[in-house]
Amino acid sequence: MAVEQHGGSEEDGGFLSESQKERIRAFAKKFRSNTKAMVGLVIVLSLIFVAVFAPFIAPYEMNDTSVEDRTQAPSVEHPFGTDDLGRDIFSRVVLGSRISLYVGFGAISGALLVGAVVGVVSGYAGGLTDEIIMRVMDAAMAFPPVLLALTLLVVLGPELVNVIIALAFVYTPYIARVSRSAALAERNEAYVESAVARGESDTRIVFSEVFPNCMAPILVQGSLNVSFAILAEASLSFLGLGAQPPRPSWGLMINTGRGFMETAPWMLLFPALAIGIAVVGFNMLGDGLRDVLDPKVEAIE
Amino acid sequence: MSAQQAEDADPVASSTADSSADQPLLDVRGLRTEFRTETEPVVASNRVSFSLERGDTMGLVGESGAGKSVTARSIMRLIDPPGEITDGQVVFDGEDLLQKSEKEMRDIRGNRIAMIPQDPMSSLNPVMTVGEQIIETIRRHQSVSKSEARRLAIESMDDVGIPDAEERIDDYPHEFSGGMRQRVLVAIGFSCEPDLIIADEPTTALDVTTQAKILDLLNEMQERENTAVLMITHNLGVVAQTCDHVGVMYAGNLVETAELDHLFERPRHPYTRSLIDSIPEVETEYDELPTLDGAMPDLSDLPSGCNFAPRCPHATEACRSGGDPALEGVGDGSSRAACIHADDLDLSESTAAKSGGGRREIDRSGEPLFEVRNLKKYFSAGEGLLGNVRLSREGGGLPTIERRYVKAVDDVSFDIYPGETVGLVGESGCGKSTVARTVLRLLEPTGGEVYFEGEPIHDLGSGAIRSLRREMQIIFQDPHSSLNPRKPVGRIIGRAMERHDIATGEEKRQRVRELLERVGLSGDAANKYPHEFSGGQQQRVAIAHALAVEPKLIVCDEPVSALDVSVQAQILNLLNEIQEESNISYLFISHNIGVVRHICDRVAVMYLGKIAEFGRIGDIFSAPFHPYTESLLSAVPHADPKRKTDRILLEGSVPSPIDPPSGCPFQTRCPKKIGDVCEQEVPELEAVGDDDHRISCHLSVAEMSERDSFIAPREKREVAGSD
Repeated sequence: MAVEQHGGSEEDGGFLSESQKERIRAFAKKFRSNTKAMVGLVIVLSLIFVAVFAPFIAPYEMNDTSVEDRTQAPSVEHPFGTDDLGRDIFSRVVLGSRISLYVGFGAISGALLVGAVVGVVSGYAGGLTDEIIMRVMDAAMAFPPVLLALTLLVVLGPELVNVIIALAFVYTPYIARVSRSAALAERNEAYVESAVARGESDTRIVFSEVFPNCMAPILVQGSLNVSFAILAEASLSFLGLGAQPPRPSWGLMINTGRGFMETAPWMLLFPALAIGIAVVGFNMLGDGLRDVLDPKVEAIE
Repeated sequence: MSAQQAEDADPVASSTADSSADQPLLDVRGLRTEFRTETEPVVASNRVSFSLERGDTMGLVGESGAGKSVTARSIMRLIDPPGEITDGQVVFDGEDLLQKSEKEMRDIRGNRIAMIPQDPMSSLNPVMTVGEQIIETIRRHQSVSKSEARRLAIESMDDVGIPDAEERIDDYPHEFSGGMRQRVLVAIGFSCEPDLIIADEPTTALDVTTQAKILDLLNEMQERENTAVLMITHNLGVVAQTCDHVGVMYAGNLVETAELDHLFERPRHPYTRSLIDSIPEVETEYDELPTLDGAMPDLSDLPSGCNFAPRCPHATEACRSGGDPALEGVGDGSSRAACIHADDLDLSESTAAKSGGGRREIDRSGEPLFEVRNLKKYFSAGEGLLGNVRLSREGGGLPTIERRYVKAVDDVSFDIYPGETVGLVGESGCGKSTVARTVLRLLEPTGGEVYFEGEPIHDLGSGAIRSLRREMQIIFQDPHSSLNPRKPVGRIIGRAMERHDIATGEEKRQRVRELLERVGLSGDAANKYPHEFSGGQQQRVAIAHALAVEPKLIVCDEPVSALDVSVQAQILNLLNEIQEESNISYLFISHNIGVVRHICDRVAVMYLGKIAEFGRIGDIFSAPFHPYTESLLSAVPHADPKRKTDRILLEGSVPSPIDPPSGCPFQTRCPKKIGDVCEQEVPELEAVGDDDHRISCHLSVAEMSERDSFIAPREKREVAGSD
């Protein structure tokens, strides 16, 4: 959606022309008719809704312990049951969505910012610049994401902000790769040559001509990577290097629930379900966006 | 509707019943193909009925979007969803193809019916070598060994004029130029010697000399194998040269079918007449090129009457209502036309205005605006830093290290005066586009000098070059790719003005509107995105973009070759008008001799990176000729079946620019080669007659003057001959 508005009208005083409205309408129509994208969008929007209004939705405080209510099975009072300290799991899952989304969006925004610029510049510049940048990216990509993030966190210290920094670093090369290949394709289009012939500088060509045309694949890659980042945060928290107790991170909750798998499986089940739903949601949104956001297909019509 | 279709299919059905002894090879009856859309189905091909005898060639002509390709694909059952063949029969060799299973169709496709597709860029699999792709087709349908198939593949590549077939068979499609890829596709089509070849614009992407060869090859194969050909083309010249019968399509309907001679002598449908008229004749001088106004109606929103009525000069009230007329027999001949006035109208005379004194004279007394001297552009042959290094051991002795270059442009000089149009013609790969990019410094020249109003472009720093770009603009071949799809056209055009501080804010917006109106679009178009325009309109936007900075020179790199014939003339007229108003100069690059004839003042004919001949239009088209120019001009197909030009077919193919021939670059193919001197000495570009006409050839002027002229009207030539 952001892409469509990107072509927008900084010069026309913010008013959308008929043509731009038409473009957005056509996009919305295509988006609506794409089941995958719609399901993904609904899941993601609900997640965001839950995260934003978490304190109002959650019936209990996240740290409300109660000794007599320890490891209770799901009931009307505690829909997801309670954990070993008698805390309401439903409330903790709801509040945990904040952490997951915070880390997911935070890490990927960082990765997008750096990766897209690096990738598009590298793809447009070509030659030696491209070689050097991409070899560095390849080296970073050679490490398994979680392992690299772990190493970074050991250095930076186990804090949520550091998780974001580490994950942003880990996912930058993925975004850069996609951006570069998009820029490579766009570089050969005649409008770039036309801009050179018009006397534009390279900087302007990269950011004003090439960049907007690479947005679609970059955004798709970004929304897919949000789900990986959420997963990675859960893994890191599970390993004890992410969010620290008593923060209700889903990964951390699974880690605690691990010990009670036989006596209180809900402690593990519901956070795991939440992770699953979030990952599937972002994945479907990304996949759907990929189907919808292909300007070439649209232009051929 | 269905009753009408049945009626329509009847005459064909009954005529085939009469001659059932020797059935036609292909008999299409009432074919209807629809594409489902969200609202209602769009009928892309409607009530199409025709038959094709063994060994005959039938042409299907019409503008793009007329339904030619859909019809052809329907015959091969290659319509993908949401498309669907909803009615009709396709009887091939006595069997209805529409009733066959998909498996049976697979044995027919490529083997008995082969297709030569339209788009050479996307029709070859980029991850397989061209050899594999030809061999694949051969081995799918013929039981031959791998090595035998390979030999056949090399042979068929040779047949379609691919140089060094034996080496190039293991190359990938991207290593071939567009024209070469089309030849590979032709080779694949012919590889199994099918009964019917459906050629979908097979020569549109080829050069005239290659086109002539391919068309000859098609004719030859057809006679030898008794192959029938269904030739889909927008080029009436190709039709006139190859076909026996012609079907004219418009908005999904066959509007006229006739024998070739009847069609050109007396077209029965006004659309046919307009199509024939929209092709400029080489002999005629025009004030303005004849155009066919308007555009094909939107297939989802057809007019209530005859589809052609809105553009038809003969339309009456009766035409505008009462549905689209059916295809019916007209007169005594074999013609059929879908026009209610077909019997009354006499369309045998051309309606195009021919008057006019041609182009005005150019004052070449002052300083040239643009001067190119000894321009050279070499590309490294191979990838990377050391990719072009080869060890060579010529003449024995120690191997020497040699760097290899593709000499794309080698020693080219010309000049352009204010208000003049200089053409660069030549076949693909002759270096004309490289010249265009190198003179503008979009590519760095390897050597030589380029002056613009005395400023040495080759010597300027990048900042100075960027400022000078205001004076020199370029229009590209593919308007679709030359406009940024993410920006409204108003911003694309306005940006050019901002960049060079010509106008900003309200003034800029005003001027964008004026420019858009100037190029024949509405001023409101500024807010639209490029994809909302048709190809012709996009090229108009590209012209507006070039004009926005008020340049003195515009380089036009094949500006009309991606457009429909009727639109081509509109764009060329627009370029001419703009030149008359603002005295702009053009460097006009084209492979289309007919176009060059009508827009250029002087022409440089290029071959293998060198200029073979340079002179005024009149000089180029009249004796003395460079042998290459002569063959190039003789190969142009004319939209007149009775005209038999003695075409000079060139031997072999264009040599590789990595390893150009010694001496004269044209000596390997020259029909007039005189001997050793051609192989040893590079001929100078020398003046013949007056100083403005220069030819690079060892032949004497008399030897180059055996033929008269390609543009003098025939009557005049006879008079001259009797004198």
